[in-house]
Amino acid sequence: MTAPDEPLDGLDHAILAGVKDMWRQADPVPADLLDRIKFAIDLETVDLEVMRLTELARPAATRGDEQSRLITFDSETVTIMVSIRQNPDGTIRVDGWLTPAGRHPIELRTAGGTAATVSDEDGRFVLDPVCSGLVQLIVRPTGTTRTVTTPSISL
Amino acid sequence: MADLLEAARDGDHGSLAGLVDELTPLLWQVARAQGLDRDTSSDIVQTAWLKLLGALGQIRSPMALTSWLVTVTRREAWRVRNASRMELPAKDVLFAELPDLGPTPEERRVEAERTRQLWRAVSTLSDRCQRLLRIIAFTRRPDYDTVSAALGMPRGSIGPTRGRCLAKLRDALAGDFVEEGWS
Repeated sequence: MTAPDEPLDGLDHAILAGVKDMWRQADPVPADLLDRIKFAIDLETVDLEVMRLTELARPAATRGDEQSRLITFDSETVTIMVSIRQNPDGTIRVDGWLTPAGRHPIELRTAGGTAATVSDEDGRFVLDPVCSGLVQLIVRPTGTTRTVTTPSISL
Repeated sequence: MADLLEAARDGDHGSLAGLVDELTPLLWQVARAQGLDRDTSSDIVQTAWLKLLGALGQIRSPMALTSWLVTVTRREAWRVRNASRMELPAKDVLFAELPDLGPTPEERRVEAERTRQLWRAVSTLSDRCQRLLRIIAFTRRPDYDTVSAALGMPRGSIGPTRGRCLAKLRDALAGDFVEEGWS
């Protein structure tokens, strides 16, 4: 029997190894999580502000099979709302609205490369077409050295 | 891990990816032990890694790196839970049901039976013990700073609590199982 705060004995170590295996089987790390993380952190920047995914809505299909998703990302200084829908050819269209409004460079990183655009004075932007897969939105607010990034999400 | 950290600080992306492989399983347990669902836990663990990019230059040791990531993961988990007013999960939610161990060929039967027995024994423990043992099982050695950061438990109470929880688990596993089971 192990007394409180005494070094673990062999049986304790064996039991803890069993507990680890048990949780690995019962609640495994999602298969794509490591890839999502590695994709997201492959950035050259030190002044980084990380947005959080705060809302995700999946409205019921509107017309026919058209599916759209609404996602909101938040950080200390920026909020981005995006609507994601599929084009008839299978590519994806991303409509975004950024606040505070203004013309800011925006990038969408994908496995195949980076698409760039600039939001208009109302903070609206469109990226179309986008291929499905892992993507990450990056904003470089005008007048700062700051990079604002979302986590990577799967389109 | 020290070499990976040093290379990652110098901007080597492969080394940073190596650290992701090494430490994400622990961070996953930290988020899940806070009772968050799998999607939310994935986002939180990813956020912790993204936030690390800005802090990496100041982190000098693997222990400090582990504690830093675990602290941010737990803080994010708390923030999400407070924002969505999620309540602490009831025990039966946190520890819902026997895992589906799938079909068990003969050579795996004994191992699967052991896991079932362990699952039953762990499920008799308090939430506090379950969380503590879950995190300790995923830390490399008795690293009380990391465990303290993961659970928000005072550092001084971890050793004694660990001893009590392990003793209870050994009692619950008592009998032939312990004698013949583990080696």
